[in-house]
Amino acid sequence: MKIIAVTSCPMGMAHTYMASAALKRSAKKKGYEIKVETQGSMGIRDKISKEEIQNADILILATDVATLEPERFKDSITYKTTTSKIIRNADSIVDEAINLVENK
Amino acid sequence: MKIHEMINPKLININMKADSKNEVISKLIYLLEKDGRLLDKEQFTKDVMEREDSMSTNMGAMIAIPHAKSKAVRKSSVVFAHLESPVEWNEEGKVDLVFLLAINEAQHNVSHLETIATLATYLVDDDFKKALYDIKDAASIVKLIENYKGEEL
Repeated sequence: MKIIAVTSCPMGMAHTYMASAALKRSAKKKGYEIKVETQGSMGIRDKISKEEIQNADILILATDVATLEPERFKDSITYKTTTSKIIRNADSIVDEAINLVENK
Repeated sequence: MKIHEMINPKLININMKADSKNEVISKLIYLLEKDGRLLDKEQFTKDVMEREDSMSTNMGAMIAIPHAKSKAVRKSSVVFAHLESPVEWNEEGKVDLVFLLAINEAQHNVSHLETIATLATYLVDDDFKKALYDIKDAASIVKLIENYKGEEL
């Protein structure tokens, strides 16, 4: 299972990077591949490529402010959430996102 | 992690007594003021409180991270308190570990932002949190943050 994710928050200082770390830790524990793009105060980091978008099974979109370059993801199966939810409970967010793909 | 410009033992209170969120924030801001890190304490307090109203900084797991980018900050800083007993942060519950991030709005210093981002990743790491709880002196907290090697993600 290949997951891509984008995180962002109003200040781009804390939530963005906490959510990114929490998602990576959870995905790793569950044995899923993951790439997380952060859209924070330092701009876009770890940008997700076209190829990675094509190969991904699911996009977890945790953008609390407008997503940058959203047209990239128009064909992705998307699980929409928030950084706060991920920080509080990344494991269930990852499970719910995976369920979304498996039930397609 | 290079964080010595942003934190020092004077910016840490590992046994803070406070009865409310406002008291915690005000005591943390006092530490910043005393260490010469603010240009305008009133303005900075206002900026932090506005930020609190716009989005919850209660991160769950007993941690809150109030933060503001502000013109009232002289030097970008991190100030930390381990509360003697937990306080109600908001409707999302109590916290007893609080990091207040004060970022100078004018000087867009990427290395400071990177430091904050790295610290943020530590705060979802249970081993790091456990160490924060266990440490009983301010200098060791600085060393922990400087030397922590989290799991490769």
